[in-house]
Parts: sequence; C-alpha cells; structure tokens
Amino acid sequence: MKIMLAYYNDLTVFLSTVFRALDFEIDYLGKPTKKTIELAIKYSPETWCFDTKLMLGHAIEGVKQGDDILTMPGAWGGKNENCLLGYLCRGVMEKKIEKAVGKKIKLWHFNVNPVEMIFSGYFSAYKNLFQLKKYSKIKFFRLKLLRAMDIGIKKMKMAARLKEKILDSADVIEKEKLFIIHDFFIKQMIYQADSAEEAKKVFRKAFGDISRLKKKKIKKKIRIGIVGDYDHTLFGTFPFFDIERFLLEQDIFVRQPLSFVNYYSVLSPIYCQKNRREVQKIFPKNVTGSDAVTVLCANYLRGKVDGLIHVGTFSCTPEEVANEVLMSHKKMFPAILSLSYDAHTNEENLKVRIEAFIDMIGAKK
Amino acid sequence: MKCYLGVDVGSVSVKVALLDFKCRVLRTFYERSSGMPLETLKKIFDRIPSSYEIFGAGVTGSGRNFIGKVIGADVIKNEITAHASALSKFYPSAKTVIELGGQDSKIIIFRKGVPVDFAMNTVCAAGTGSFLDQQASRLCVPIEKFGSLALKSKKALNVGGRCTVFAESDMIQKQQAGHEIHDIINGLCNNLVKNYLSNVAKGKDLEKPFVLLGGVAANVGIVRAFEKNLGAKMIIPRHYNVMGAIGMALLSRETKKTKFRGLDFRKYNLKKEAFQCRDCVNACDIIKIDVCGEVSHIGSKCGKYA
Repeated sequence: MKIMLAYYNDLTVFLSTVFRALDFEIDYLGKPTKKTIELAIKYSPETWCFDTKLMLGHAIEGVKQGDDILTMPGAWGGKNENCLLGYLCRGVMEKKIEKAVGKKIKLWHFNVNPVEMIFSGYFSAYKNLFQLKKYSKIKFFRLKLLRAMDIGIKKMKMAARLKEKILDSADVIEKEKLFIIHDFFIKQMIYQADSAEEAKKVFRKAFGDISRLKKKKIKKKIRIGIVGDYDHTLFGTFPFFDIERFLLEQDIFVRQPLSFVNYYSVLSPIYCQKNRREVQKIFPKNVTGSDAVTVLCANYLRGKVDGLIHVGTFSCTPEEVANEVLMSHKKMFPAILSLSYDAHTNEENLKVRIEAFIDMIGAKK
Repeated sequence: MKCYLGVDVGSVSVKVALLDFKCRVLRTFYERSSGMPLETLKKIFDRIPSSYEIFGAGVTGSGRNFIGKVIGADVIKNEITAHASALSKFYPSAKTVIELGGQDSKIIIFRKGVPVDFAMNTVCAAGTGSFLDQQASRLCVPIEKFGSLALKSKKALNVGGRCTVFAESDMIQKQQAGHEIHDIINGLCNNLVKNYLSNVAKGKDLEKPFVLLGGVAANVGIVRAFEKNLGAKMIIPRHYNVMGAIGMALLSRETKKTKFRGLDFRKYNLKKEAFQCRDCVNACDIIKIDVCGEVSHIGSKCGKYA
C-alpha cells in the first residue's frame, strides 16, 4: 500500500516512523515545488487560501504518482470555525480532487497537531491513526502502532529541539551549514532512524555539528518573533519564502513562540492562565482558533523581542482576524510587520519590507 | 573634490546623488531608464566630472543588488531605509512621508526624526508613476502636463482608482460618455489618492507635517488631491525625486575603504550570464556577474550561489 506524504513540518518525522513500522510504502513528496503550485492554482478556486490550494496540489501530485492513500494535515482547520479548511475537510476536498483527477481517491486527514501531540494530543493521534488498520495486513496492529507512535513522538521532539537550536544561531558565521545539517538530519530521521536509539544518535550528531560551527560577536542583538501562519516559513509545512533563513543571514535571532520549550507558557490551559487573561481583554472570544493562538503568541512575546512579524496567507480568515486584533492594539506590542502572501507575491517585495523593518528596529534601538 | 555617491535604481528611472563630506548635495541626476538601468547609469557616470573623488558608494532601489555588485557598492539597502535616512537628515521635523515611485508606493511614519512605522503597496500598482505614465500616453497627454490639466477641472468626477485595470476601463467609459479630459484626469488623481490612503496608509497615524517624495510629486494634480484629502499642505522637498539616492550617499559615509570600481564603466570589463539552477525543485533563475574577474551571483535561494 503506497501512501503519499508531503513535508508536514515535524509531523513528517512522526508519520514516516509510524507508516514504515506498519509496512506502508512511503511516497514522500517533500516541500511544495513549482509543479505543486501550478497544480494548486489550476485546480482550486481563486477564493481558497494558499494553504488549502497547496494541499490540493500535493494530493493531485500524489494521484499522478499512483499513490493508494493521500494525506492532508487538517488539524488547525478542523478545530477552527473561521477556517475554510475546517469545512473542506468534511468530504468537500475529496470531491474536488476526484473531479480534478477523474477517479475515486482515498484521502486521509490528519486531525493531529504536532505541537499539541507532543504534549497532550497523543490519544487523539492514536484514534486517528487506528483507522489505518483496514489498510494494514500487520498482526498485532495495536501494539505495533503504539510502539511506533512512541518512537515517532520522541523523534518529533528531537526535530523540534534542533529547529530551536538553528533559530538561535544568528551568531554562527557559516549559516548555510545550519540548513545543510538540518536537511541531512530530516532525511535520516525519515529514512534511516527507525528506533529511538538510532534517532538519538542522529540528533546528537546534528546538534553537536551545529554547536561546533564558528561563531562571532554580534553588535546589535536584534530579536524578531514570528507569529501567525508558520506553515509558510522555512520550517513550516509549505515553505514559500524562507523568512527564518533571511533573518538569520542578517544576524537576527528568531523566536517562534509555538516552539517546543514555550508550549506550556503560550498555549497550555493550565500554565498560561496569565497569557489567556491578558488576551481575553483585547480579544473577547473563546481562545481556541488559530486567530486566538496568534494573538496568544504575540502577547507571550511582549518584552521578549524587539519586533514581531505576523505571517498570514492571502485570504486566510483566521489570520486576517488576528491581524486586525494586533493592529487595533499595536501600542501594546513591539513593532509589528504584517506579511500576507500567496503564489503571486513578489519575493523581492517581501525582502524589502523585512529589511526595512529590521533597519527601523535598529534605528529605534 | 572628495564626495560620497548614492544611486537609486528604480523601475522607471535611475537617480544619482553626490554629497560632500559636510553632507551638502553637490550634484543630482535623474534619468528615465526605459528598462536599461545599467546603460542609463553609464550615461550618468559619463556626465560626472572626473574631479569628483568617490570615498563611498551606496545603491538602493529595485535594481540595487545587480547594480550594487557591478559598481562595487559599499552599502546596498532597501528604498525605505534610504528615504528614511535622507529625511532624518534633511527634514527631521517630518512626521508622515509619502513616497510614490515608479511601481510602488510607500508611507514612512517618523516621530522625533526616527522612522517608527512604514507600509508599502501590496496588491495594487494604481497611483504609481508607471500607471500614470501609461494613462498619459493613452490619452496622448505629455506626462509633464498631466497635473496642470487636472488643475483646470472644477468637477469631482468619480473614476475607479482601486485597480489599474478597472481605473483604465472606467476612464475609457467616461471618455465615451463625453466627459472632458481634464475632468477625467482630475477624477483619476483624486481617486488614486483615496486608494493610496485606504490601502497603503491604512491604520497609520497620519500627522502633520506631510512630505511628498518620488517622481509623482511633480504631478500637481496628485499634490492637490493629497492636500484636499488630508486637509494639510504637502511639503515637496527640492530634491523630491532623488531622495533615495541622497539617503544612500548618506549611508555610505560610514565606509572606511571604498570598494567602488570608479566612474569609468569601460574599466569594469563586465560579463553577465543568466542560467537556471537545476539542482533542486526551486529551479532558481541565477544571474552570474563577472566584473574584472570578480564573480558573484544573484537569485539563489539556498545559498549555493551566494
């Protein structure tokens, strides 16, 4: 049984571990290519946000490569009432793909969020993955699945830690080496490290390699926080423009609040009461959707960064709501730069904005 | 004479400024590039007297990376920073700076001489220089007379200014309906300004004094429309169309030893080659530049051709 898997951030490491353990053949498409974007634009309505279009593009690519099962991460959309994907996940997307490719398909939505899964979403992931039983011929399926999930989650934590290490490496001289190490690490995690011990070795090597890179003293230590649609940043699901890489090249330290170490302070209902109370003053809504998450992240970063970059795809409703909240209370936050983009956005234009934003923060400092 | 050089390579023009050590503007040049920025810059450099000795060079504008590498610029910066630098020096009291360029429009908010906020146009090029150029040529009106014609109008004709395509079709419709050209031009200027204020300046704290920069500042119709919509006088600096270049000359003052290759392009021995990298799915379009044997690349995403 051949299963299509694209780059779904740290979730890729987890899912590849589970699928390989259950004897599925993985067709890993990687990050979106020009072909994915072309297919996405060709087959999806103009009104869809770029994330959703890219998911459709990946699915069609998978069908053309003869995959038996298509996959789609739909966790965020499924939970958020403002999100178009939440609606499309309920059977509409399948119909769109079937119409585009002219045959029946099997589409499987992952209603698991990698960040939540590391901490609290283990059982929802299990429930979700248990559906695979009907496609797998493996005996003792439940046992194998649980064992694979355990290893997968451990590997996912390592992947998250390595990303944090990279984002905190603005003082490294040869920055291109950071990304070479990361690429090699991900490939080894997907294709080779099947046990937790093997994964640990791979992680330690990558972590050590980064620690050994030559460093320099940085004069102005500018820290920029990225909030919003992480899917479109370098380490995200649909890397469209390498914001983190671009910032690191300019010796900027990057903070992503929804990272491994910050999860409890930003999102956990038990530990982030203060953050939630503060946000509810400016955003009187149940703090559940991704719009609220963006505001929670921005609020968490107050006083911790010199500037915030709010990333959102063109026509993404939750991010538009979040942007409106942030802009209406911009005096509360450090300087905010809003970036909204899709397939037609000029990358040079984005670079000008980010450069100018950094210069402006430097001048203020 | 010892001086600093600033170059602004925009989408429709090339601007050059020379500043002395006391930050006084010695010479400025503004030339339309007609899609050939390098050749235009060559022409400008030929006009600069050889007695000027360049101690630092900076390049800004949409063509900054290519031209910067060719001439050996010491500083390569974006247009917003370049304009902000010039404004902080020459107009420190300015609070709102509106810049209308060839293909983009910007707003920079200053407080106490420091830029605190900015924005650029995103989805629409209406109101920028190239759109006005295009409309002037379609109406057979020289662009220099575009603004003065608008001033003749006493009617506030409503011309769609939200999108270049819709604006043009609306103008054609107005012409077919028999409206006077100057009324149509006035309506266009007015609605382009409204479009700018609702898109680019959206949510910004607009405070007096207002400064208008960029080639479009020469259009008196646009200036009047801004004054009418903002209810305040617009300050048009003397060097309104070369402020980016002046800003870069100012930024290049920090150079200790310049890398500038000189004003004589013949000595550059420039070779350029365009190719597509096939090593990964990004398929980056790379430009290889060889100046006096020094090779550099533009357009690489992964850093392979850094």
